[in-house]
Parts: sequence; C-alpha cells; structure tokens
Amino acid sequence: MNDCENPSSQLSVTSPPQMHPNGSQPNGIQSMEDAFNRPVNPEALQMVLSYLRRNGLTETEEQLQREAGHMIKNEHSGGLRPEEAITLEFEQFIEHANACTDVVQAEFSQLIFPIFAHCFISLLEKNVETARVFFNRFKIFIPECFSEFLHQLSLIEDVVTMRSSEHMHILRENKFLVRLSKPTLKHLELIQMRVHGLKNLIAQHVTIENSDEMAKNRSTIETQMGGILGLTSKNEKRHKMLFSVVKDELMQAIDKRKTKGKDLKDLGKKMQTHCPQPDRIPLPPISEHLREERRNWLRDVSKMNIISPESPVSICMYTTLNAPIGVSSCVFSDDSNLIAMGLSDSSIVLNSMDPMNKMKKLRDIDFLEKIDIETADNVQSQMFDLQASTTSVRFTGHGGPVFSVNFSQDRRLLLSAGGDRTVRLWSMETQRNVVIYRTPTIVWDAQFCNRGLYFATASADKTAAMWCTDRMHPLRIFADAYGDVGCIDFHPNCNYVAGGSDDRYVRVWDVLSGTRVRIFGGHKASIIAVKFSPCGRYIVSLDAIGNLMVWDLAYQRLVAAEITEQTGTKGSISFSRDGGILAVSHGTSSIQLYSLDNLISSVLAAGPADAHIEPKVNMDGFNIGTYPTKQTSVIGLHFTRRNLLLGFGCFGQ
Amino acid sequence: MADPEGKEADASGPSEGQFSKEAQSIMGLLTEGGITEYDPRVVSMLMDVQYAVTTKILEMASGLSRHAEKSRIDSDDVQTAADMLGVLGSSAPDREKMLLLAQDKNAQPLPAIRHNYGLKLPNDRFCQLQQNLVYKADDEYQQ
Repeated sequence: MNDCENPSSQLSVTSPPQMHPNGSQPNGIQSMEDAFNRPVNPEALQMVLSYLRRNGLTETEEQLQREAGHMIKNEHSGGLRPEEAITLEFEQFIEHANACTDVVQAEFSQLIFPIFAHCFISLLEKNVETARVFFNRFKIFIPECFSEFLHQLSLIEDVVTMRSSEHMHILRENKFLVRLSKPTLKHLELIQMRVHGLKNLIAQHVTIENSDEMAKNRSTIETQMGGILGLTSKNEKRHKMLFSVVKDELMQAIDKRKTKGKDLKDLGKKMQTHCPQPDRIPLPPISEHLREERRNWLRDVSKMNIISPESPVSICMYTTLNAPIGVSSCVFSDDSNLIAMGLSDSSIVLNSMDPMNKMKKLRDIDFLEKIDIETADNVQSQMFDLQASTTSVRFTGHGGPVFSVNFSQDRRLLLSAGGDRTVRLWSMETQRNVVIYRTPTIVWDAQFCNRGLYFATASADKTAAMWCTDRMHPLRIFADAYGDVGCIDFHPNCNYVAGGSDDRYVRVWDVLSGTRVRIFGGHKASIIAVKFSPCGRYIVSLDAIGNLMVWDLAYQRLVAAEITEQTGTKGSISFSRDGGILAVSHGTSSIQLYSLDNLISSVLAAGPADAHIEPKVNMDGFNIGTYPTKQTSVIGLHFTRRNLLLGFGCFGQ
Repeated sequence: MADPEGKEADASGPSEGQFSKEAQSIMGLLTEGGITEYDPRVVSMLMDVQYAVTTKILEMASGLSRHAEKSRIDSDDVQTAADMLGVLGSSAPDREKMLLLAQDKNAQPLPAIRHNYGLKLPNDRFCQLQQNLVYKADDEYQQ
C-alpha cells in the first residue's frame, strides 16, 4: 500500500466532494489513519481507486485492483449485493455490445453465451431466485446457435441439479475460446474498465485469441460459432497430415475419363509429399478379391457418366413399404448389387438387386468335406448351394435397433452396429453371425476401411475407436469428444479416422499414434454425417439443423458452408465416383446435390491457395439440384460405378 | 395406487381434472421434454418407474444415514445413494480417466498382420462358429 499512501492522504485533504457520502472530512482523515492500522477497508479502496482513475494513473489503479480486487468487486456498484451487481454488469455489457458496429457486434456475440452461462452459474451459487430472473431476462440476447445449450441450462434448478449436469461440468472445467480482432479487443477493454466482475469472469473462463485479419462480414463469423467450447484455436499444434491418396490405375482411369483427355495439371509431384508410405500402418495385402473388384470397376469406368449441366444426374430411388417398425440404416455394396438394411426390430435384411446374381450360401461342413478338390472340376459351384439361393436373406441376432450397416470392400463381410451395445460381423458366404464385439455403450456407427481388416466405431460414451477384425478389443481409442460421437468415416488411405460428435466439432485422428490431427468447429447442432472426399483432401459434414460444411484438411479451414433449413436426424453423404459431386440427404424427403468441383475451382480462382480465404456461405453454383420425394424419408445414398445415384428411403416413416 | 388405475381405464380424450397430481406432474415433464404425442399408458408406466426408483434410492439413503448415525436423511445421503445406484448421472467414465486409458492404448503399436489364408477373424473360441441350435417344440407334450 506504499504507493497509495500519499495519494490517499492528499485525497482526504484536497477533495472533500469526492469523498464517500458517509464520511465527512474529519471522519475521512480518521478512517485513513485507521486504515493504515487495520486491514484493507473497502471504502477507502474505493476512494483511492476513483482518485487514481480521475488522474489517469491507470497502471497503479490496475495493480491495486488486482491485489485488492475481491473487496472492490462487491462495492463497485455502489453497495449492491453481488447478485444484483452481476445483473447490472451484464446489462451494461449487452448495451455496450449492441451499440457497436456490425462486425464488431458479431465478434462480441461470441462472448455473450459464455459470460451469460458463467454469470448464471455464479448467481445460482448465491441466490436461486435472482438466477431465475437473470435467466429469463437475458435469454433473448443469446445467439441462435446456442439455443440448445440454453435449453439445457434452463432445466437447472439449483446447485444440486447443477452438479449432475454434464454441460455444466464441461463449461466449468474448460475454457471457452473466442477469437477477436483488434478493434473488438479495444472495445472489450473499454467495457471491462467499467464492469470488473465480468472482467474477472472473462479472465477465468474465457480464452481470447487475437485474430490477425478482420473478418469482412457478419456471416463469416457466424459460420464459426456454435461449438460447445467456442472456436477451435488457431494455435493448435499443426500436425502434419498425410491426406493424399495414391493414384493407382483405377483412379487414373477415372481422372482421364473426367477430363476427357484434356491435359491434366501436373499435381502429381505435389500430391506425393502428402501421401503416407504404404507401410506406415500395417495394412493387409490387396487380396485377390479386392483386385477383382477393382478390375470390375475399371471395366465400368468407360461407361461412367460425368455429371454436368449437360448430363444431369439420374436418381433411382428404392423405397420400403410396410416395414412395421422401420428401417434405421442401410448401405449398398460397392458394386451396387446388394442392399443391407438395418431395421429397428434388430434384424438385418439383405436383398440382392440383380436377379441373376442371387446370394449363395455355403453348404454345411459335412458336404464341403466331401468335395474332392483335386478331381472335381467345378469346385466353386459345388461349394455353394445354388438351388437354395434367394434374393433376400434376414440376419437376426442383434438385441436392439441396428444403427449402421457397412459392407467390407470385398463383400464377404458385413459389419453392423446396434443399440444393444454390440458390433457384429456377419459372413456373407455362410450367412451367419461370426463375431460379436462388445462395447460399453451403444454404437452409433461402424465403418470398414477400404482395405479391409480395420474398422472404426463411434459410440455413445463420447469415444471413437478403431478395431481390427481379429481382436476382441479396440486397437485405438479416441476419447477427445465432449459429446456422443454420432458418425465416423475412414480416410481413403486408411491412415485417418474422422468423427463428428454431439459437441459440434469434427475431429480427425491419426490411426498410427492416436493423436487428434485436426479439429473443426462451426456447426450449430449435433453432427449427423461426416465423409471424406475420395481425393482425401476435404471433409464434408452435415448437422442436425441442415448446415453442410466443407473443410479443407490441407489448410485446416472452412471452405464453404451451406445453410439449409432442413432438420433431420439421419444424414447421408455420398460422393460420385469421380469425386466431383456430392449427394446429401438429411433424413427428410429430399436429396440435394452439390458440386465440389465448382467449389474448388472458385476457391482456386479467388487467389493463391495459402492466403487467408473467407469461407463461402451459400455460394452460387455449389448447390446444383434439389430432388424432393413424396413422404419418403431418404436414409441412404450411393453412387454406382457408372455414377447413377441410388437412393434408399422409407415410405411414411 | 388407485389413481393411476383410474386413469388407465380412461384411454379416450383425457381432460385435466381427471388426473392425480402425480400424473399431472409426469405430463408436465413430458411436455417440458418436448414430447406432445404419447399413449396415455405411458404416463402410468412412467409413474411406476418413478415410484420404484425413488423407493430404491430412499431405502439405500436411509441405510446410509443410519450407518453414519445421523438422525435424518439429508441431501448428501440421497446423492450418494443415487451415485451408487447409477441413476441421475451418466454411467460413462470420467473424461480424464478415458483420456488416460486412451493414451495407454494408443501408445501400443499396431499389431503386424498375420499372413495366413482366409478371413482375418479372432481365435476360434471367440467367434460364433458353433452350430446354431433351434428350439423345437415337442408337439406330444402340448397335447
């Protein structure tokens, strides 16, 4: 208090009008002397602070505030109780924020929710009534994207309920991240001068990052808001991500067909640097089955339809009718020959699309043993019971609704994830359940990688895991998420796994080390579908209120956001075989098509690739078509090898 | 339990005055959760669940408070009982524990691939490779 002694004694002598109303001059001197002997007196501190402020001694003032701040906070608002102080300060904050210009206001609005939530928490601890009043009064100021969290907060009655609320835990234990540019920071400092309580709150619970560039418009900022803990940090450790895919013969043939023989830009060399080594993770050798599949695909490439305005996409829609409980998931095999449907009554129905190519079942072991491999001329046909082959098979075994089905690339195995907390592997040849992998909570999604052997699961205990078919326990656990992981996808080069979760972030994990290499925030609701592009560089994700976002893995940024108003719970994203078009469904009765090629070319045209580029919101030419159905909710999408789009839906569900 | 049964008999268009206070509170819970269409039997089922769970928790809480030699059951006892029974809280492990577990797991290198033939499946005793047995009802017994 040494540096404050002199000013305070001067205060008592030279400025009687500035004194605290309760103290007249002689009392003032006496209280000063008492103050030297007694512990810190809030009234005296108040006087000192106002003196310092008036005379522009800001540094001294700040130091004093820091040291004796806890006493001043309560008294600053003129003797109000702490609850009322908080309310008053928040109101001032809102007023100030509303008075700013458009872009600054948008940046400020990032702060409104965390400050509101933490004020609410501290009010709950002091006085429940005031907390209720505070909540109802200020909830209209919260931006739209946080309305779900707001609803969760509104259910909290008192301190006891607060303890059991998960969202509260997340908010209290982790800091909310906000990115502000210089003008906004100046405004923030201005207001923090006046609302000290909020200043402490911000310092404690919010991390503020400087952004170098000023965003040009409001919508850019709004595309990034929405994460449960705010934005994703710019200073995230920049992991090198090997996102490219080796272009084998098949991919080159597809590219050639797409550009119709025009000169390809020589991106070959550049892409190779981002390609992982073939032995980075142990991958199974390409089996004969896989090779055959690729050869079949190659044969179809020449007949592939390149989707363009001249030859728009054709959609063939398969609809189920009279499914008593309902179809909860579906998948097409890669050659579009088989459909697997996971039903809510726990069975899986497989249908063969091609009447010539029905599903054959391996004969029983007794018969198989009798086949003489050496002399029999047609072992294949003897192995399978061709008489009894049918077009439809039903697998039973799950104990709960089947939330996702996925074929392995060679079509010999089917993976299903169910609400009975198991993931089951079914053999297509013997048509029975072969392995049961048990997990602690329900599994929302399970996907094979395109080389077989590895599969990834997304489950309700906020983790994603990677397994291989020959182990009963996962090989890798990705436990970063704050909410259930709802959807998962493997990268085409099998080295990365992307998961979208209910905490509105899309995360990409490295399979080799288990680290999270990318995190993307900006969705405004739980993420219902996530998909890597076939070239491996982009991720497309879809959320429950209809926002579609395209993320660039190379530069770790948002490329485009498409805001539609479709709410849905079962999202499906499918890329065309050449990677240029993507088809999206929300679980509602329409299919939308977007052109990724248009997007990429417009981004490239905008400027050099590594400059800061604003994400394109609702860009023209991105959405190339909307195809509504009548009362059929679309559950699955699939592009055949000739780029015919197959859709799957349930009538009246 | 006379009230829920009285309500159960009333499957057609219910009006507010016919319900007991508990039924009304459950319906309030449902509307708060955003559920507007439901079968009326759902309300009595939920009430049964509510009674069963509350009784279980209170029994355990009274045991706890007796053990701690307290004269009354207080909120800490109820909270501990709820935690022990796994109600009112998520059953998922803490995030920190999960992260530590994940770190351990992820530190192990990926296993090498065994290059033997056939589908790569776990050891035979972990697979469901045994014969499927189907129960065949014995008709003579039924007669």
